[in-house]
Amino acid sequence: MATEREQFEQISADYAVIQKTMNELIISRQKLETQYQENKIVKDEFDILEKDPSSSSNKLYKLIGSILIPTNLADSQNNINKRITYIQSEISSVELKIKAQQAELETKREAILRLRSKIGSGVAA
Amino acid sequence: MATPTTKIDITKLPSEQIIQLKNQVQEELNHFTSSLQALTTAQTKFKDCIDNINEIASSSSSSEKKEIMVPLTGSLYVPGFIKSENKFLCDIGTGYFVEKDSKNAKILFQSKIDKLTKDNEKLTEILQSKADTLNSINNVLRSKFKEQDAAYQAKANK
Repeated sequence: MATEREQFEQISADYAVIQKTMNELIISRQKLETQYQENKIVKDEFDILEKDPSSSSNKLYKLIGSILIPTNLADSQNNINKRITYIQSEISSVELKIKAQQAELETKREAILRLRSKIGSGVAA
Repeated sequence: MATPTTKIDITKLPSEQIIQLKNQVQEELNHFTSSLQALTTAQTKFKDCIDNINEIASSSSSSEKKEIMVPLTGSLYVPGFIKSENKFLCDIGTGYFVEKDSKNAKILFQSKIDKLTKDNEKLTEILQSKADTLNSINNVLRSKFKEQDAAYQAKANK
């Protein structure tokens, strides 16, 4: 009985830890999503610039620190495409981690429920 | 949460699980509300951009150059003149800026506003359905507690 209670507490603690890492993962997933969306918007804008020949004369700048550096469209497109692929790979890796954590969370939850009903029935009897 | 496709009658769930569900929905609701606020702020910002472009471009007919105060820091300004009324540097995100004339700059900001308006509508819809869900959960919870209370009373009276 006492060991069951100890076990229960142990698993509950584990559960809380997993939940915390899970929350952290979800936050980083959200951050990545924001970055992904922002980069996609920039990419769309570059595509518009590329199609529009009249705007090819438009100057393009990149903000580095607090200085605007002139840059060209091809380089920037390259850059943004690389960034998007990088962010996508990051997203899938975080998502894999989230799935693993979710599975673990589920098993722990079941263990907790099992133990709880065991302890409960022990008290009732 | 684990089975979003199958409908579960929440009146059959134990109250602690309903409370858990309620907290979850509440959290989602908070999240969406703050997102909506952020969207509205962004929209006003872009609208301000268009207003500013109109303001500057409208003076292009007059030969007189527009005088403005240029902020060096938040609290230090120097007087300056707008040399070209038809050139705007637009922030398109992640540190990239494009030089555009007033027409194209306005198109850029307007398309951003339109996109945000669409998102705004979608979000409002989601928000409404979440609020409804929360409401019904609260109702179930209340009737559940009433039942429990009544059962407890009945037991105590026996």
